[in-house]
Amino acid sequence: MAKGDYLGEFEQLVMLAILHAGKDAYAVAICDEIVRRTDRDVSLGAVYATLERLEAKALVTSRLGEATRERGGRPKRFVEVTPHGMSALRESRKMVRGMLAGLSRRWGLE
Amino acid sequence: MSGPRPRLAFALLRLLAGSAASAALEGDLNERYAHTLQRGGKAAATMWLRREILRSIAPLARERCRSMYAAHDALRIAVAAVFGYVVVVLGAVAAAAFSLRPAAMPPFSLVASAAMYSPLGFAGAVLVFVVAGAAVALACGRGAFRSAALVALITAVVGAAVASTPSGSVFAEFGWRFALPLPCLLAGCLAVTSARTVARR
Repeated sequence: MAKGDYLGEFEQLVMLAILHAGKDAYAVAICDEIVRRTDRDVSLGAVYATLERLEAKALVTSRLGEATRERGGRPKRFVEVTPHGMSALRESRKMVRGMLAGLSRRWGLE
Repeated sequence: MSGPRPRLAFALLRLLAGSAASAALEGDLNERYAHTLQRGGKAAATMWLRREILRSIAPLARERCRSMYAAHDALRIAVAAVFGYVVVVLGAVAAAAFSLRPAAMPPFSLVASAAMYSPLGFAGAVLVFVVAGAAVALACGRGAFRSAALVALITAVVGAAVASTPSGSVFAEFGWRFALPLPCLLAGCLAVTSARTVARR
């Protein structure tokens, strides 16, 4: 894995939230998933900044949806994880698992 | 969206998020505002909106700076050069304080004197800074902070040598000595960046 492909903790959360949200993943849904599953309060700005970074690394792609009246005539920005993003995510999980191996019993880490 | 719209804050978000993302971000804020308005009333929705905008500014600004820094060679080089220059000044101040003690003079200060007081030495010092700048420009790949550290190291060593002359009036001569490294560094950076640009074409 190239140096720039390593994922930070929040980047992993955002990518996992995208996968949970499915094909309708956009920033609000991503925020909701993270809040619901981790109880961590995140701002839309933080999610957008992370999405920008992930897209620059080609780990996610985005497309603009239709503009709607309830959104003040603004479109949704749907995102999905690319195959390259999936392999980066798998690699990150593998690294964490590797580091946790042997610690579970002693320290109660899973 | 009904209710007060903090125009300045939205304008700032538009600037920070970039044109592609800002429309979607505004839409998301509008959607959430409407949702909070339905559930908690206008005061709660307004409070939520202001808080959300305030919380969003820092991460967006940080990301904006990071992406600009990564995308523009010139900015990266300028940051590296300025960072290096600051270290030169700090190193030189430390070296100047050191050189005021008589026991600490030779042989370090002899080299520095030769570099600064003879025309050949002066040209040599300029050359060293230009080469240092060029080295920074060459090193400015993906590891921008590494290149900044590199210029800091080079300029700190050279700057300390330049500043540690045996003269007792070191502080009186600070001005022109410290004015030297920065243009030389930038000249070196500029030369290499221009060469790269020409080569790309």
